Amino acid sequence: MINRNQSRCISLFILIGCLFVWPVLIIPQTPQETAPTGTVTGLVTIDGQPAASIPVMVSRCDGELREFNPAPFKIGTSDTSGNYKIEGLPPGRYCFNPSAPGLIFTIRPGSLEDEFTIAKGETVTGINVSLKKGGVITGRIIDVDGQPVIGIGVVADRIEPKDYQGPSYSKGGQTDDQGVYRIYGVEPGRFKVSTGDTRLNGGKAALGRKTYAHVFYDSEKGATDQSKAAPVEVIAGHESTNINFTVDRILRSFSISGRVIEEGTNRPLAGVKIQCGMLLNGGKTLSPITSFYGLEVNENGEFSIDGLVPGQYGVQVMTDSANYYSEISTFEVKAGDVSNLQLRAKQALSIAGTIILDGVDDPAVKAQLSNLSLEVYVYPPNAGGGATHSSNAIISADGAFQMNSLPPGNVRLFLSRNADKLGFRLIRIERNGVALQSNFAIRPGEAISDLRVIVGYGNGIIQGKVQITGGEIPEGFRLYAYLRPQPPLPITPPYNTFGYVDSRGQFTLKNILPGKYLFWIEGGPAPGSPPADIYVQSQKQPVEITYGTNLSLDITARVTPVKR
Amino acid sequence: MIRTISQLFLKARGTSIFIAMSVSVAAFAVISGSSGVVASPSKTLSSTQTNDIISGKVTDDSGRPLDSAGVTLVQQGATHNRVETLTTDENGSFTFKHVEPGNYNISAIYNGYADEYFVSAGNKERQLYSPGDHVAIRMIKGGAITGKVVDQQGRPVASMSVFAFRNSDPAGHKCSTGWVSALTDDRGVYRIFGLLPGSYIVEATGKQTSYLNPVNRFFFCVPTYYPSSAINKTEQVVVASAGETTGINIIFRDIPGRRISGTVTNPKWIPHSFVEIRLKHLGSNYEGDLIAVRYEDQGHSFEFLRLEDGDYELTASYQSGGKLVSRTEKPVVVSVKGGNVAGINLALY
Repeated sequence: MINRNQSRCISLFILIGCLFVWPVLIIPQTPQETAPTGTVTGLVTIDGQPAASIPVMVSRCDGELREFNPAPFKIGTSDTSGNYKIEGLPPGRYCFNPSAPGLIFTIRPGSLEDEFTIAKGETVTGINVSLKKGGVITGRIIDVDGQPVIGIGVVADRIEPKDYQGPSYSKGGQTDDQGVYRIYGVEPGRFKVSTGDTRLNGGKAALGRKTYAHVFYDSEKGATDQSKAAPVEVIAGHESTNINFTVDRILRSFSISGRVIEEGTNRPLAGVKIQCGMLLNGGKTLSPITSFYGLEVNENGEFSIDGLVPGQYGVQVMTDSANYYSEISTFEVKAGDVSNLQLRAKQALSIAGTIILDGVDDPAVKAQLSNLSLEVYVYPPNAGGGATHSSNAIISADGAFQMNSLPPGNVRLFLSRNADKLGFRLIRIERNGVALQSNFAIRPGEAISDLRVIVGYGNGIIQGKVQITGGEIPEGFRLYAYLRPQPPLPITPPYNTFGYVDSRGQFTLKNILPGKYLFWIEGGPAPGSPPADIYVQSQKQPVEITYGTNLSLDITARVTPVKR
Repeated sequence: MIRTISQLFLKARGTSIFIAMSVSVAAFAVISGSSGVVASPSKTLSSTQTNDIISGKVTDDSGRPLDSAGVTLVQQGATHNRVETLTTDENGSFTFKHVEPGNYNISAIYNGYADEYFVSAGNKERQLYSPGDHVAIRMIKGGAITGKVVDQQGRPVASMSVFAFRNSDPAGHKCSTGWVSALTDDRGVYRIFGLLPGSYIVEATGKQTSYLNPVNRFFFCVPTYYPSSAINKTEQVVVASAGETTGINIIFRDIPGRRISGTVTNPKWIPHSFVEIRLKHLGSNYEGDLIAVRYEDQGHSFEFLRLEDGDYELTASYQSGGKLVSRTEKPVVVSVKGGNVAGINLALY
């Protein structure tokens, strides 16, 4: 679609293009962002006082993880009275990006006050941003010879009261070529400050300097036991200086080597990839911070890894590399190299099937199915921890899919992340006409070829505004608009779906499958926030959704104290 | 201070910026200025004995062995190039075992140090080693540049990226041996270290080398060059080996940067591959900050930020498995004056 403005530009390009060198396009500066955009304004305060020259950043947060999408945000700066104004915002849901160097953003990401929605061309006022001053922790790290330790990490972990249930808080820094570090914008409180390498790098030796054991600040020399750590007091607007360390426990690193053989034939296996990491869960799973990931063995199936500090490790064949998997082989690095490790690679498993679109004949909707993919996660059968395998299967035009290179374990299938946006939802999974649990097993040697994945489609919309009665919503709170399927169930099991309510009480639920639902508003502390002494709920009301439904609902939710 | 900047420098500098932006886009890698510069050693006498190891020693310029230096071997020209990193022992020694016949690049890092081989701008090519060779790498203590970044009112600016681009060696020969960066702290103070001796261009920009870094209010502004100017009026900063050049203070110009954005359409589109988009400032060869290449439903979108008014040339190329698959037929020329330019389509053929 070309609007009038653009088509005028295009003719201009062609004209200018002809005058100069064709086909190079000379594109003049033009106001091409013609969609009606909105504005947000508010007051920025530091410790309750209006603050000038403070950046305020917002980014779109409808359905996307903003951490992974840092680019499309806008910045406004507060004026001399502390007021900010951000213009040119396309309609949508926005979140604040907490970024005010040296200051602490008091709005909790994911909470009600973090969000606002802008309609086409709307000006939203009174979206205030409150900040407070942080403190500084600074010091110097030297080795036993008095030389600065360059590029080593320092972490300050806040010491919480015993009954504290909120999120843990920590902040880190790194030393420069003089061994000096400076951590700023730190929340006031008492901290344990520590340095060293064994905490966060999966057992890997530091690169480009010596590796040091993890040690806590205790005012004289480092304490290895964190109960002996001397607390460091951080005061707003002040510096806690001379938090110095002399690091002396050097960790030597060693190499490991081994080979991958094929189970049954016992032949060395080329072309597979392995991963190595420290052990978790009593030796059953690898730490997600792997020391080495995706290392390819040579043509004789051999591998070698250098730079592991003493510790308990596991190594295994990665399933997504070739059509093999293996159990975790465990080993310990003590005071020397480890050799002759052996990994027995077994044939990987496969799952194939068809996507069935439920209750929709519209060819345009069916055609959208091939824009989806199916995500598979395999969890270890007898251990906690994360998935040992994840991959993506393409869905062909006829709905068929095929997943290879799977290890045995408990399988979970999901539609790709764009499914929600397109209106599709996974309803149930069937095998031989029987509905499976959302989590089903695949065993060694098994090849599942007849899976039916039933997918529903909906385009219903419920939007509206929440009125709060009986009290105020506290900081760090979150309100949700819920939908629960009612019989006959459009979806099994009957998961609730929800949408976020923004700071002005607005909500929009999109792409709702046809069916009967109960609709209500409910609130609670945002993820990572401490428990609140109130809860918020509305009456539950029945709604019916068909194709094309667009409901407008204003609803009242009541604040009620929680008895503790 | 050297005040004139040759066309040669600007070309070299453009290349360094391009390296910087490729890294940040491809991996969103956490790049910090705190580790040493990756360096390549000079080749010494080959051992006459043929075997399957490449061994060597890393020392400082006085011959003292460097313990725990990182040494990386990268095979050249094979189908699956071997890449391996070792750390040196207490004697500064390292040994790569079971090395197949072939050519290998060997480089070392040691925090705060730089490879002496690269002090001379003439030493651009990395020399290659073969099994049986002994490698001697000498690292020199790098220099540092430090100073403070303030706004037009003289207030410190925190979380500002400061880049040092090497422009010439101590003998005055032009070079382009990459860049090192640092962030300002809450006092506006920065310290860039591990620098080879020579002359540097120092740039302050709101751009971040990691999305984890906090952003300041100058995020979208055009960069300021030391002491407070556009690139063609900057004063170069001289750094001595192990020396410290202090007082390199920058008054940041509060000039809103312009944006050029658009999409790349590609008939041979394959998921998860990388479309490289280059933007060149016509006249100065400035290459801009590529902020985003990301998958969209309709193709790839891109955005160049922090541009000053002027004429720019855009090209896109598309690589898969290290081979050029397609690219724009002709560069697209875009003129920026007083505002952003959106909706540019780069069609790959």
